[in-house]
Order: sequence, then structure tokens, then C-alpha cells
Amino acid sequence: MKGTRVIPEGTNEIEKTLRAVLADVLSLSPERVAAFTPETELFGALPELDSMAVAGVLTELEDRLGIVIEDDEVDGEMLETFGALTTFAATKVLN
Amino acid sequence: MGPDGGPTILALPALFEEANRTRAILVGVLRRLADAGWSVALPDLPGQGESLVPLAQATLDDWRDAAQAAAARLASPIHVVAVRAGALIDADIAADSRWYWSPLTGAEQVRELTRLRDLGDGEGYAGNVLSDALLSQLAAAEPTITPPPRVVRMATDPRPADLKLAGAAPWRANEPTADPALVANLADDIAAWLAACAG
Repeated sequence: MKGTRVIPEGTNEIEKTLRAVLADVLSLSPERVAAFTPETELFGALPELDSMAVAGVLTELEDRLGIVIEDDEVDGEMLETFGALTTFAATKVLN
Repeated sequence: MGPDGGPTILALPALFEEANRTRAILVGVLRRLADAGWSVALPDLPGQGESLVPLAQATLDDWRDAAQAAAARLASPIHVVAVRAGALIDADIAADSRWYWSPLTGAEQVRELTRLRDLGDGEGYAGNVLSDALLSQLAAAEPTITPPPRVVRMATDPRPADLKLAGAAPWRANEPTADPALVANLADDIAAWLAACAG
């Protein structure tokens, strides 16, 4: 059911980090990134998010959150929306 | 850049795509140092920058040899200023001091390159053709730590550093950046570090 996805606790800081990473890697303004909602579409919808930028976002998230993202975890689904990427990152941090 | 005669700043840029993304900032920093009276050299490594050598033929040993050869032509003492994986290239240079901006281990560089290849169209590494020899040499390479380098990182990077600077990491940005405050902060830190080394 869309909109009722369970967001793990402690997600606020992770969401903040994710917004900062997207702003830095995609050269987006902080205002634009601040307006992202869980439903905001990312991969395929943001022209700035090409495959090279995806690599930059993932590596920067690893650095800033202290996580390791395996290649086989990267798919269109986790990159589809801001909410999906936040949930993915939060799950990584909390597990 | 700058006057002839030592001491000389030998700058080693980042590698691959990161070189393009950081070049404007590095050149801006070096220009400020040259204007302040330092003599500054920024050599092109084989297969990088304006070099005509195909990158597919480049090896880490070639780069270290080229950096050492560049150092041998410069007036000593030599002070190394290296960006990112440039810190893997100065191993054979008898430098008086080393200043590194966000140095990478070879393993971290290879991981980034592999990720780019896997996420891309499967052809090369973001448009670069790299030899297996280069990748395996890189994977084992570490930044030089004698004499102990000064390490500067961006504030968003949790790794240890002597100084953390505000701003977005230019090697990640998908558009080349030239944040003037960052250029000034980097140049000021290099100048203060070199003054302390000389003192």
C-alpha cells in the first residue's frame, strides 16, 4: 500500500544525510532537495542522476553513513523514489 | 607557475574522472601559491591530462616513475601537494613534506572504478579503458606516510584528518565546481603548512 510504508526509527538523520548527498553529487540546490518527499521520483526522473551519479551517491552514502552497499543490492527499485532510497539506507544503518 | 628555483611545490592531481572534476580547483590553488612566490609544477602523468599516451597502457609504476622524473627536474627541496589518488603516485619522490587533500587508498579507488564499470554500460570505467595490471597495482597501493603527511578532508568525510573544510566534495559533483572559498582555504592551509615545514 503506497504511502503507508513503514519507515524505521532513527531515519531523520539518515534522511538529512541523504538530502545532503543528493545536493552535493547532483549539484542540486538545497531548496530543491529540501522539497523532496518520500514519493519524489529519482532514478529515471532526475536527469542529473545518471549511472555515474548513482555511483557517486552510493559511495558518498557509504562514507557518510559508515555502511557497505553490495553491488547486488543496487537495483532500480531502491533508487526509484526518495522514500525507497531512505528506507534502504536506514535498513543498512540499523542492521 | 611561479618563480624558478626551489623550494618547489610538486602537485599530483586526482586520477581518472576525478582529475577533471578537481582540476579547476587545483589550478586555482596552485595559482594562488605561485602568486605568493612559490614555484609550482603540475606534471601530466602518462595517459592523464594532456598526455598522448593511451590510458590503457598506463601502469602505476609508469606514473610513479613519471612523478619521480618530474621531481628530478625541479629545484629541491620538493614539497608534494596531492589530491585524492594522487597520493598514491609520490611514493618514489624524496619529498621534504607531503600535503594530501582527501587521499584515497588504492583499494578505495579500485572499488569506485569497479562500481562505475558495473553501473555503466559495461564498456570500460566511465569511458576509460584501464588495464588489469593497473587495477591490480592500484588495489595494493597506499598513500605514502613518510614523512608524515598533512591530511585535509571535507567536513562530510568521517575519516581522520588534520583539517576539515566546509563545502561539497568536488570529485563527486556531476558538474565541475570552483568554489572560491574552498580554493582560498586550501591554498591558505598549504601555505601555513609549508611555512611550518620550513620553520
